[in-house]
Amino acid sequence: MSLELLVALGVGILVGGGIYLMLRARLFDVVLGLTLISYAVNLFIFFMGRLAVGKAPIIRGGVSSSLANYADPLPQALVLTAIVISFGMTAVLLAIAVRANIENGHDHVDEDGGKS
Amino acid sequence: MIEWLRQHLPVLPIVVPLGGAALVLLVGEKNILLQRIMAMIVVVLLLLFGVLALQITAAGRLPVYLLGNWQAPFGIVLALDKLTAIMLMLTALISAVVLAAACAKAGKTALGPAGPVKRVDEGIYFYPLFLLQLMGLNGAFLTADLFNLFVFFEVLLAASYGMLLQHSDRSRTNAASHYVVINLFGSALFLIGVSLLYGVTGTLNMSDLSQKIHALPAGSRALVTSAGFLLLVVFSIKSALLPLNFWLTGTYGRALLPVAALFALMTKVGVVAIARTLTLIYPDGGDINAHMRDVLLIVAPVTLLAAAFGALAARELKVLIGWSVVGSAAMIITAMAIGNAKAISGALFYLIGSTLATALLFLNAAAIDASSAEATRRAKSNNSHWAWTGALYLIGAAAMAGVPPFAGFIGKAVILMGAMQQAWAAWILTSILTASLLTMIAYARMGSRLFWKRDAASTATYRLPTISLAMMVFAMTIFAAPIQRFTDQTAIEMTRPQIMIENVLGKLPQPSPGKVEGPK
Repeated sequence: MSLELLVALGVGILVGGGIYLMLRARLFDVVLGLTLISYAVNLFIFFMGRLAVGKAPIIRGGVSSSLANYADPLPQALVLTAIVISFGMTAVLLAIAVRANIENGHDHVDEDGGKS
Repeated sequence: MIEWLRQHLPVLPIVVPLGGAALVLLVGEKNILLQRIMAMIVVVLLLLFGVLALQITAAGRLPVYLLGNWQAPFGIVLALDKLTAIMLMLTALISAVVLAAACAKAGKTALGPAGPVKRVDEGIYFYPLFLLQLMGLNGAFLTADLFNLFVFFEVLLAASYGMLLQHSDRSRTNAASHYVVINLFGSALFLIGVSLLYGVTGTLNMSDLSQKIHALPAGSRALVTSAGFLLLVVFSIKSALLPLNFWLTGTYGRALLPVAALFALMTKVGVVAIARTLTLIYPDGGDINAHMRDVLLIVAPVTLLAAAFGALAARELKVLIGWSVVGSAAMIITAMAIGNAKAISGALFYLIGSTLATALLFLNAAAIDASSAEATRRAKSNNSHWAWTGALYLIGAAAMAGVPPFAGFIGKAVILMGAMQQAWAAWILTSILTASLLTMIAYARMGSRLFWKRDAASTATYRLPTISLAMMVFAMTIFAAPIQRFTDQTAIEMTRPQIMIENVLGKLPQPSPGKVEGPK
């Protein structure tokens, strides 16, 4: 039980921090917030394959192939894809953020610096 | 050859643009002409695939393609049903027109106020991005797997970020940053929904999900319901339903016009995904489906009205068209939420017509240059360009607002007939008709400002692509009967998810040609 609680709290804290940062309306903070949220989401996908301690996702001879004996390999594959995609997209967003920062002369998400 | 094409048809609309994009990248940015020719070859092939797909599905077949020869639900599956065939054809048509526009010589003042502007396709890597976007669109329409749908969403979004940033300036960069942030957040929600569904049901294949959700114990229903609504929120971001639509007008209004014309397809991806959610993953008859329909029947008509008011308030043509993109997506979702075969058939008809009309309006907007009103006033005897631009605007606006005899009207009429049989008929009818009237007023006002007050100058930009789009809009009226017969069949197929489920789960892997050995 304590492992589940720890994991759930971890995901929750990451999402909470991410949402707080995203609402700060500064591009750099928004990027950081999205990164935190994507960490949380990746963990969440991983945990959706159930928490298994000391079990491999690879079938060994002589051990019957049911999820009681193994970790679910599919969420691990999904999370790999999700990590790659969120990594790439964050890079794109950073490039756009740097450019917006240079062109606007400030780091606010809105063109006019949120004055209107 | 044709037999081979038929056999591999479901995967070709994905592989061909991907290969094309890679080859175009190899050509490099120096040789624009070769890039153009290659993109044209790909688009012609996509048109061919679209026709083949329509032909095969019209014959009552539903080809299923097992990637990597893994049987469903263990591997990723592509399925080509009638809805997919329609969307493939529509994508091919729009992309052909957009490609023609990109290759066409842009008018001197077409793309911006500051003197001669570069052509659209002189942006770095325009063609590879264009082809990758087509790959993402086709993949999102074809896939029968939820996680694969996420991947194709990301492919088409990543390409659209690049397309949006073509010739970027300050306002375009800002629009892109908002657009990327909302879509990244949407992707996070999508992943949460997908992994929730996997955690409960242990599958990601849409057909398998449909069956597993049906047979779930009551204890797991809450999780599955919240996963379904998360997916609905994500698809609503893509198709710009009301509280989630504020990114759209800013993004579409600032994109280059041929790019915006292609983006008209992207909201339709969200619409098709909502249709799949309502007809396949959570099919009619379940209590989750009923909740979703109730929510959508409130949200979508409200969006419709909001879009109409937004259109009325728009001072710029691009923003006005952006609001009608929101409105048309909301209209189709309303019809999908009504959910009987009649309404769905009308929605599909309206989808084709309104997408063509949106592309027409966006491209035609390039021929109107609001910045040089002075020049128009000085050169009083203005040119013949106005006649064409005005006529094309009229056709586009009429098709968009749904005035007879254009395609939008037929679709809308069928949707209204479908809505009659619904418990919420009064609310739906009122909102659809009010929104139509307001949209018409908005277009009439914008038209009188542009064309009678001559508040702008007109050029001959994108004349050929816009005329061909107008021909397609007319063709939809002339060939309304056969098209409607096909959309009727599509709607019937969509209201019977069992057809899709049997085809997908019943598809057997190919026997391996090499070593076929029995157990010893």
